[in-house]
Amino acid sequence: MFAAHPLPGREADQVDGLSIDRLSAWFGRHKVVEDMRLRAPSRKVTALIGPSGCGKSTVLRCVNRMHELVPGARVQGGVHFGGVDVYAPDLDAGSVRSEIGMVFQRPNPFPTKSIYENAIIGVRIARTTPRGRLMEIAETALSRAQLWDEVKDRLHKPAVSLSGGQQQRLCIARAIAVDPSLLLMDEPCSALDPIATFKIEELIRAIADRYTVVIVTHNMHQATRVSDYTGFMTIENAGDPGRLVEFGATTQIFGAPVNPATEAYVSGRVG
Amino acid sequence: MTDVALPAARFRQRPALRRRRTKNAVMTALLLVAVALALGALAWVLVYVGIRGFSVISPSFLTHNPPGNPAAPGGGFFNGIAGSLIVVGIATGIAVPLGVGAAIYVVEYGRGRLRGAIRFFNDVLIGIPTIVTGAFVYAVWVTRFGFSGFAGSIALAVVMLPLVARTTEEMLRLVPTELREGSLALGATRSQTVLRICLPTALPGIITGGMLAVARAMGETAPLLLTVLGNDLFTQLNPLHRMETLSLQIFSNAVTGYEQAQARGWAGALTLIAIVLILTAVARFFGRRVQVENV
Repeated sequence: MFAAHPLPGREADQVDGLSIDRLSAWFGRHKVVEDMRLRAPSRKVTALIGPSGCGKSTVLRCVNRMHELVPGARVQGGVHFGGVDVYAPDLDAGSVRSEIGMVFQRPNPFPTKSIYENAIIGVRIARTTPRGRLMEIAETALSRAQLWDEVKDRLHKPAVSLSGGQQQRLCIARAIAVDPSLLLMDEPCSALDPIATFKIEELIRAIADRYTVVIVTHNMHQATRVSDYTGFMTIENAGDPGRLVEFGATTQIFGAPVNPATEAYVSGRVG
Repeated sequence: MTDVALPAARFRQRPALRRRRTKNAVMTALLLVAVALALGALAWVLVYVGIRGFSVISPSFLTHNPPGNPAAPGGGFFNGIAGSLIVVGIATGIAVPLGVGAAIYVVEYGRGRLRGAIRFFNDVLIGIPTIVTGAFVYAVWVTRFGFSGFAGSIALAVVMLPLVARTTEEMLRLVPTELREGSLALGATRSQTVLRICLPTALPGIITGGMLAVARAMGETAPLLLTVLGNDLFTQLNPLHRMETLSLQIFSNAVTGYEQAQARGWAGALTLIAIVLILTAVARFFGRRVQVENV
């Protein structure tokens, strides 16, 4: 058993940012995450690292209530963002998901839609914005995703005509266009080449002054490059639920890990 | 390493390689034969119908009704062509929305037993001989309201519905989960996801499936004998009355035994194939257009 570590900054007055408390998650009877605790401070990048199958992605999907979409999936425990209980019964999962955006492992632009339509589809769905402002929103979102210069002359071309890295930045723009406060990124570079990866990492750093970012990665170098805080999760044996082992400033986790399991993982001896 | 034979020689000595190459050649040949037989049969039908039909077909064939005397030359199948388009058109209007709706329910919403039951009955429906469908519509509709084009549309809709539902279901299943999740993660509801993402993505496949059902309905004759009844000599465009359809007309002209009537039957068969091909091409064209530029 790993000892539970006190988390930094868990004071009650610090309500901004994401806090996960005693979160457990199941697929059917199989418990995949147990007693997860995490605080991702506002406007910082927090990385979740750990070996495959340790429940990192599941934790992420519990935050924007995507986990519950899987038949038989169940969640227990608390997820608060900006002091608001994400699982409050009077809160609609759709509104949670537009406040908490998500970028997936593989770029998933909508293939039947153009670059422009992909960028604004979230806004169109929400039906809160007058049509006249859509282009402005598209430009802002695509600029923040550092894609505008590359696509401004072919906004009405199919989104799938872009390269993989551009598609992923389009997906980030698509998430940003809805004006979320928190962005969840589930291994956003695992399907990309090193140059495209570098661009996305640069972009993550750039948007961190506006958005709180939580990124799951199994690339430890990426965690050191993009994140301010890092949480290390692992499983003891195959089939066990994943747990948080250690959480701290990224420099501390990689420079002076307290837990021997963290030390073994970040030094590349296991995992 | 005691064996010092040259690498090339070593490769040649390996019997497994030769056996695999032979096997590969045999399998390739078998597959080519299968392809040739399948395509050959299709080509034979098309060419044969084409040859028999082309000698009779003419613009006036498309605009005239058969002559009163079936042994007389000339005339055409206008009443059947128009009737087929009307009867199948109405059937499509009934079957496509219902079939697509059922498929959406099964793929996007359905859980457990009801979903299983729908799929099971859909499969049963696909397997029902269409003459039985015709007899059913005869019993519940025609005995009360009489023979009519609309009764035929109902029968054809019952034939088409499970085909549309099945192909739509399969096409919706091919829409990657990642796209649904991408939409839901933006805050979209399930229905918005279905309407804006899943259906447009699956549209070309749904159109192809719909056109297969239309083609099937165009050629159906058995259920129409018991519902539309046929009306060989007159033009009847009102689906509330008994009508003629192309399939019935081909049948009734073919069984007369008069050479001229049989010739018209061949021309009718060619017309039927042409209509199905044209409709499919048009539907595909529009399906692609919708896909590329739905700005």
